Amino acid sequence: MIKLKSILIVSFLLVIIQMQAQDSLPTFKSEKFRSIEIKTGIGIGYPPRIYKIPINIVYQQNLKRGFSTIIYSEFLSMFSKSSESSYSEFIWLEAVGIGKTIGKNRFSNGLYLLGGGRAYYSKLTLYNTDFNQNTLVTKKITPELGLLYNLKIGKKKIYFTTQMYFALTPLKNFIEARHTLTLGIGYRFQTQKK
Amino acid sequence: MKISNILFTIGFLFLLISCSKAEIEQDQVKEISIHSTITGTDYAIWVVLPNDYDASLKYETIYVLDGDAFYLKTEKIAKLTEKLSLKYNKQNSIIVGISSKNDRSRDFTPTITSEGGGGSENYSKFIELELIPRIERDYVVDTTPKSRVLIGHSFGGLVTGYFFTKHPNVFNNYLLLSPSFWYDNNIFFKYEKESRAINASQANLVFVACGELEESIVICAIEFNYRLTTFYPNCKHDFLILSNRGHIPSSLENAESGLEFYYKNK
Repeated sequence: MIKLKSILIVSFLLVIIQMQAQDSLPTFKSEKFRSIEIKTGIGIGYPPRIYKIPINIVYQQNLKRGFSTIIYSEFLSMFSKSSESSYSEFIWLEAVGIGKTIGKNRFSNGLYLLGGGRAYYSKLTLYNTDFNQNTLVTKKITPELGLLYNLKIGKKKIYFTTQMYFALTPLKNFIEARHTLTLGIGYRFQTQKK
Repeated sequence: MKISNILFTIGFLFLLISCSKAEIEQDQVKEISIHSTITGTDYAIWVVLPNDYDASLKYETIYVLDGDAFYLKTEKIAKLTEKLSLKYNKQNSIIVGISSKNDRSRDFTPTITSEGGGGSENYSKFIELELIPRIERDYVVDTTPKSRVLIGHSFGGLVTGYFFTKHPNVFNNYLLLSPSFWYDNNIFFKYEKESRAINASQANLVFVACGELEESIVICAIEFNYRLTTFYPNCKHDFLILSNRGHIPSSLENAESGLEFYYKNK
């Protein structure tokens, strides 16, 4: 019985290996291209300043004629404390997007329009003041519209990627919105040969 | 679409924008320069007269700090007052914008720190003893404090608060936009407490506003609003936190709300 189980497991693994061996890597503009990217980088703001590093995950699925859909997630968490105050902040941005990918084998440029929502939480506490209210908590969930430029470089399964994200909502807050410049790595899923 | 078509479209749009009517007629705007013997600085000043300026009338004056900043430009404020004075059927005002390009962080801060030069007292004297007399000599304006408004944003809001506490007889109307009351460990609130007994009976109009996403400014603005409500019974005031806005993007919208408050209540 144990022997039979072992044979089944080994057979199963061989089938998987066989399937893997048949796989091929799709090019960036292939309709079969699917990828997941993880990036980190800086947030850029005005007056000129740099926000703490966000973590960004992008899943991409190509469609026909160079169009792609993406799922975009971004997380940012920070905390600072001094003798006068403490401040903590958390941002979670979740959006879906559609755009166009242009590129040859090694390079790919993509421009995407994104829509989704942003959750924002911050807590500021002041010490050593005679204020009537010493703590301020801000909680918000707001709709999000953004523009994403993405660059992928590499021919292998793991490739280099960098992107700029511009938050467009609210447009009146554009100059102080949390625009980000991130870079990281991407993993392209294999596809089966027909 | 061909590149030439795209360029043509962009060019056409640019032409349309270029041909659009200027917001304020240029003959309404007078630019002067004042050398202050108190601060030792030259200040560019823009005076915007109402479009129906009549030398036989007496006008209120609205002084705008950072009057050359792109987010609070003197002409934008003038456009707002034109609109709001019509809306509330009130006489329009003369707008006086003060350049802050020279020595802003010195002039707008009351104490010396790594962020400021502690020149608020001299700057206040410049406005009170040099600028206002010059404006009131050259134009037909109402010279009482209740006919003068001071608008300041950020450090400009801090110096506006400085006038409120230290020189309360110069202006009776204050628009404090995202004031930097956090400066020097909230020193403004020390001034407010010290001058409260003298100022509490003043019949001022005070508008305080900020953007929701500038937390350290919001918490100080909440405190100032609390103190106005609690300790200044004769002061008519309003408080606004503009949703989902930061420091600069909130400035002009809050200025409009503040001017609306002023025209409604003056």
